[in-house]
Amino acid sequence: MVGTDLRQQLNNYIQSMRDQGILDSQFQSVQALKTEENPHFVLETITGFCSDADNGIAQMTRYLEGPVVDFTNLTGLSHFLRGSSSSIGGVRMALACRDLRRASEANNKQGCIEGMARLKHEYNSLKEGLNNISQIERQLIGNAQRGRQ
Amino acid sequence: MGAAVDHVTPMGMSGGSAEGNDKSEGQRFSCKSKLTALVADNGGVCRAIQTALLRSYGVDTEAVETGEAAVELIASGATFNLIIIEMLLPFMNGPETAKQIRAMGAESKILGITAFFDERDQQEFLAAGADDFIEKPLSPEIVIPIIRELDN
Repeated sequence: MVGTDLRQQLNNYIQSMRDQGILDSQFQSVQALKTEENPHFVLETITGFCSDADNGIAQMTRYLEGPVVDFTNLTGLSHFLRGSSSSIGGVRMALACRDLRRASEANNKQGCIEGMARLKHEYNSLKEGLNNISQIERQLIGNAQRGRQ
Repeated sequence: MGAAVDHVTPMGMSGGSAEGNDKSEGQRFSCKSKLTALVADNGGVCRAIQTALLRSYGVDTEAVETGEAAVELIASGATFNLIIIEMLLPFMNGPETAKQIRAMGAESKILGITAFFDERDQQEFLAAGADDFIEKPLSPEIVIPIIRELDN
């Protein structure tokens, strides 16, 4: 069955991300919130997360590259992104946010530069995986809708 | 939401476990009483996940982005069994929000929540009237015992 194959493909893909440490079990908690009334919950959450992360990282880059490093706002945004990444199950990105926050709280510019690089790397890995998950989710939703017609 | 909400089965759920379940206990769970909750979090993703999680257990949940909005809602007469407040809300932070809510006489269980656990933040939140303080993410393992406690 196509639907079963797709679900298995999705499960396998998520498991591979968990095996790599990119996602943890929290992502399955998010998946569990998808309902018949809200079949797009996972997609919407991923979209919202990536939008927040793209904007947040861009802002953090500006704060870091300014003539005077804005450590206060860097700390605030690392807090914000750690919250959302941990809530979606992005464990390695959440850890990168923690390291960056430590550096920004210590007013350590070099530490922030290194932390930012790591955060971007972890986010890019997570984003790629979430985008692949979204593609499969869309197919699953499309199949389900066609099945009801 | 009414009493004794039925367990919700999502469509296309992958992973095998039914949503609204306490995966760690492997048993079905939903609240027996009509419970209400308020989520105050400026992060859209966090707000959406926390709200959906509570609703999946049958808790009638509202969500706001700021401490001021939470205070206004309660000042207007709304009551909640559970209020979850993010530590670093803009302008009026979490502890200040909790303090103002308590000053209005609200007896809700207040749960402070944060991206980074810090003992000073915990002390500040508890001194402001919160009942507990946890680090994100809000997970079924954390929420279910709280709902059971409120249910009883």
